[in-house]
Amino acid sequence: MPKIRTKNLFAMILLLGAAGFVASFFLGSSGVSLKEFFALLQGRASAAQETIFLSLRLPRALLAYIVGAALSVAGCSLQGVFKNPMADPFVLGISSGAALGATVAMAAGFGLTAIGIGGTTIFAFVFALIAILVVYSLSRIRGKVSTFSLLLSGIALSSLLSAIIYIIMLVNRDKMEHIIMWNMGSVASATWEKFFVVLPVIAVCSVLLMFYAKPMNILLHGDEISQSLGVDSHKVRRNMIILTSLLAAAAVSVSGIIGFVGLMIPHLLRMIVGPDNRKLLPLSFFAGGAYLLIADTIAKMIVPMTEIPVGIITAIFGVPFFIYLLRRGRKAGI
Amino acid sequence: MKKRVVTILILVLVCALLFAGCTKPAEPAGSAAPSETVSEAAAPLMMTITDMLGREVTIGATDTIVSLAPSATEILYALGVGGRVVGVDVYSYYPEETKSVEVVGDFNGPDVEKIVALGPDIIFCGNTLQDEQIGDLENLGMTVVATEAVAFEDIQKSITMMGEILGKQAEAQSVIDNINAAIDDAKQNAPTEAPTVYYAMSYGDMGNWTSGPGSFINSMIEIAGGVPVTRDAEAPWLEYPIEQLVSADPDIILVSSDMGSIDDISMAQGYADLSAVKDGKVYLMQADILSRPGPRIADALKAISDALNK
Repeated sequence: MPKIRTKNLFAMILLLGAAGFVASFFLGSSGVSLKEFFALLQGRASAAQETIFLSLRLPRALLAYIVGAALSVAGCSLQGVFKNPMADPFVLGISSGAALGATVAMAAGFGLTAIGIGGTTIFAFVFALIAILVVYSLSRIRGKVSTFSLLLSGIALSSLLSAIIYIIMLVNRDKMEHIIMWNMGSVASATWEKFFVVLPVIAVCSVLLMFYAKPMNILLHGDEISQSLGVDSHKVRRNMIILTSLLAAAAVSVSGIIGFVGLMIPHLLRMIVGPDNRKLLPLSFFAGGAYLLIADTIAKMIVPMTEIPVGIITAIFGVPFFIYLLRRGRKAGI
Repeated sequence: MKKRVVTILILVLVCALLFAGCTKPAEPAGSAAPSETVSEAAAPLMMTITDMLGREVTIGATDTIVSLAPSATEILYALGVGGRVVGVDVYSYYPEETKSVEVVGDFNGPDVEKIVALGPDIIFCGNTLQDEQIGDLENLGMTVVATEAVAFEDIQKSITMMGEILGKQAEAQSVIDNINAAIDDAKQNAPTEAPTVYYAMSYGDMGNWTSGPGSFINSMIEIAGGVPVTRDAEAPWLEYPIEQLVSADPDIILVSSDMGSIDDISMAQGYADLSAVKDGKVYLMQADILSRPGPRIADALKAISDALNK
């Protein structure tokens, strides 16, 4: 891995994000592009073109960016909290909680209604938070929460919830398609309402998590050393889990389960800049955003006349690249 | 502490099961087609037919029938042989008389044990039944005939076939005449300027699923004098990108009744600025009637034709 200065890397990531944004804004299944955009600027665009640019593509691009950023920051934080490279935003049962919420909303027909954000989003968010609360209280033994029991309870609850989702799906065969598609993760149904509802949650939680970068670095040395350095490891972990839960729940509620962003982006960055969370967290935010935005642009263009869930793209393109880097990094002794 | 955890778990389970239980298909509206006449089992002794999956099937008696598809059930009752039906799948809840018939199949497919216990002479199935399941039933000595049409033209073919099998050719012809009359009416009433039409099977978070070329819904829109905006799409049913829909800006939108109200769809992503929404040209279509290739397709065609002429 070539040595890259953090500042340059940061600039590169921002540039990638900007490029992704331009591509996402000017590419779409309807073929509306530059010419129509200039018409829009001069106020000559048709109502349909205006809708495509301003009500479909713009919120979609912005939503993809903040969802990617949220997943990536949540992944980075949880890997630090658990000192476990396998940790991702969904490790504590958030994804299956959200999926159960979305499934219930869709099966019961609450998925459609009003206020622009839809019952699916609300149910997914609430169920995700309930799931994490259950996981947290299950793993609290005599007032202490060990990371070990947190991870295990998370996995156990996920399995239970998945089973319930399958029951609901089987009984509602006609909705099965929609539920499966939701589970693959997509920002195709982005609206301004969704963006503005999750933006504050994602922005506030991400910023607050940045303040934990230093304690996180200390936590890496183990609980005893942390205590002696004046870091209350239990409190730090608890607060970080709360923040990442909100972050991941917000992201997942508007996009479904987009896998691999929260795992891949932080690890990728760690290979380049090393384990310092003060660099990793902000870099994760912007890299995750850029990555999902570009992946979503590919998702909407790769098969004409069809929406491919972006979760499929993040896996198909991301995984091989990630494995390649991993092997290369190993050889170089990183 | 422990108690609380157990309570939470039980609550979650109960909620999930409640939801699962609450979302059975909606009750059918209205009542039956022709009521059962005394069945005289006039069918010929042995015959070989080619069913809708292209399989050759040899058929003997047809005194007791199991139907595993709502469309087949509706055809059976329309042909006046409802009295011979001893078992139906859970989605066969039209006409009213089906209520008293034993349910022998659900979301999981046919309940083979129950079907064998009933020992029907013949089983009619739809095209969701997999080859493997058909094979299983046949291996147990059952006669299985696939009856469900995919294309509009095949609906009449499947009704004729069932009429022949059951010795009810005249009744089949009258059902077909009824459909043909609806086709003629729809063609006659076709609007002078063909409107563009989009059928919203779902929208918003559920994805913009719709019908494409080759589906009987698109055929009906065309018969009624409309132009489906998905006419160049590649599959009989597909997820249509919302941008495409906004560009196409259809004159009329038909929406499946199990997808919420007109208000719901009007507020869905991308819909607010569509001409059809602004002009109030969004119409709810009763999902059962529209989606079943049976006798009530005549009603579906009439409903589409009415919507195109509003």
